[in-house]
Amino acid sequence: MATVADLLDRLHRQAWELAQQRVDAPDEALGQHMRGWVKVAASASRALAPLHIRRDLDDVLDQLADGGLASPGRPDRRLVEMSLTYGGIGDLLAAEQVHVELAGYTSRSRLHTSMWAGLHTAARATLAVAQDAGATEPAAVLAGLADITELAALIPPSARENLLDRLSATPARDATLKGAVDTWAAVAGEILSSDHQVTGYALQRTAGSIAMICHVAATTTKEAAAAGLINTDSAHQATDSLQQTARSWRRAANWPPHLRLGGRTTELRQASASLDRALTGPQLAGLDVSERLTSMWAAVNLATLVGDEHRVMTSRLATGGGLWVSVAALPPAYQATHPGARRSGWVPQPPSSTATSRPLAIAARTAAAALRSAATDLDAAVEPIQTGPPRRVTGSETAQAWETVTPPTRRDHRDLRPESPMLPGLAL
Amino acid sequence: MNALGAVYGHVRVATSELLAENGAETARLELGLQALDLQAILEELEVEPVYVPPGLSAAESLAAAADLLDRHRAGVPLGVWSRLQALVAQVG
Repeated sequence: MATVADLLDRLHRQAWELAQQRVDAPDEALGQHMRGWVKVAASASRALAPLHIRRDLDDVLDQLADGGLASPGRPDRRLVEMSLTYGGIGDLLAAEQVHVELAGYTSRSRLHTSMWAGLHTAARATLAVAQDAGATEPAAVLAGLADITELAALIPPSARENLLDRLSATPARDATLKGAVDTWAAVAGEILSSDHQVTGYALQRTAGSIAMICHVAATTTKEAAAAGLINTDSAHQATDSLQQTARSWRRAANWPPHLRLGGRTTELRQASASLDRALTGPQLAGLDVSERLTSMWAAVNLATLVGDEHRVMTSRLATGGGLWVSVAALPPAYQATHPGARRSGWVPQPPSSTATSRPLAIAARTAAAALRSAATDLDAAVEPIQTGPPRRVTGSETAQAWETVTPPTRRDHRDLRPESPMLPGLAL
Repeated sequence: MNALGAVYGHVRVATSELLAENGAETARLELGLQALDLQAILEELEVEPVYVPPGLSAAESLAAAADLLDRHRAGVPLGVWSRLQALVAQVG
């Protein structure tokens, strides 16, 4: 299945071929180009929008997409092919919206830069045709597009590689690790956000599954460092962080036997079992180390969202008297004032007797915070994995020349203003 | 079904014991998750757990649960029996 990196390679090849063309009849060729730009501009806008990096190209792309500079007729074939490639990238990013949002500013900025480089090369090709044809208005628009995107096109391809390059069009199925993680996260997220569906099992099992994800991610990170794929220092930090987080979630999964919240959660049980098989079975073992690490990075990112739902629901139930408690575990005063309550039975936890359930809320809060921190450490460790063949990475290599701006934190990047003045090339 | 309620109670204690072990290896965590899944199945069968106070180890609790099931085979779904036996074997 095609990855974002595959589509970017194709895009740059298509732009390169467009720039190589020799035009004998510039007037005719310009008409075809401008009709091609209607499609390129529309699909590029759609592909760039979810990255939330820069919007200062919007006016130019809108002007090209609305067809005001194009006459009726056949569009240039190469530009149509480029538009299809941008469309493919846009579809992939839309399908993987959660991962795009969680990828961090650096990865999104680099992908944005790669797409701008393609636009720049194509704009230069059409600009040359427009100048030959003496068409001043199209030439001015395309010169503007080329100017804005020039810096992106000057960045070496290796400095544009990023985690999002590895997103693929693989359909989400339970049979794959990605499918199992996606299904589990969707089912768990729905149940943990519903007062009517949540059960003690859902809260305990979800916490346990997150612990398992962190364990496997830690092991995989260690293997990737041993294989020389990532920096050992950042890998060590991520591994430690993930192992501590696994312990935190394991504590959050462990409820005292006198507390419960009954009910059926069959779908989550099945999704959790599929996740277990995917994490510990041949599906993951069959991938190479870099693919495994990328898969676990994605799983940890999704787990942070599920973990936040867990924290909120646990806090509400454990501190608000939403659980059931064994009568036998309640103080004798309760049994004295409730003679009808069977000692072997269960009763809704009195809001005044939440002392034994409050630790559950604290454990969930601690675990969720640890997971967010571990995910950030894992982001830093995984970042140097390149889309090309695996190679050994040394500590000095990871200090890249483009690393001049600290990306926003996991939470902050959603608040980035679209008109952020940061240049992609300078933000790498 | 009271026997199943008591079995459920013992499995709850065993689950807590398995999850309480905080080692770096995942084997005990996996067993704890399997024990949780057995609890979910008992919930699906609408079994209400009997409260069993903590005190026994995971292996002892599971053995107590298996002993109870053995004495009440007639009313025990085979799926519960086989899952519990698998846990007893692995934890023991």
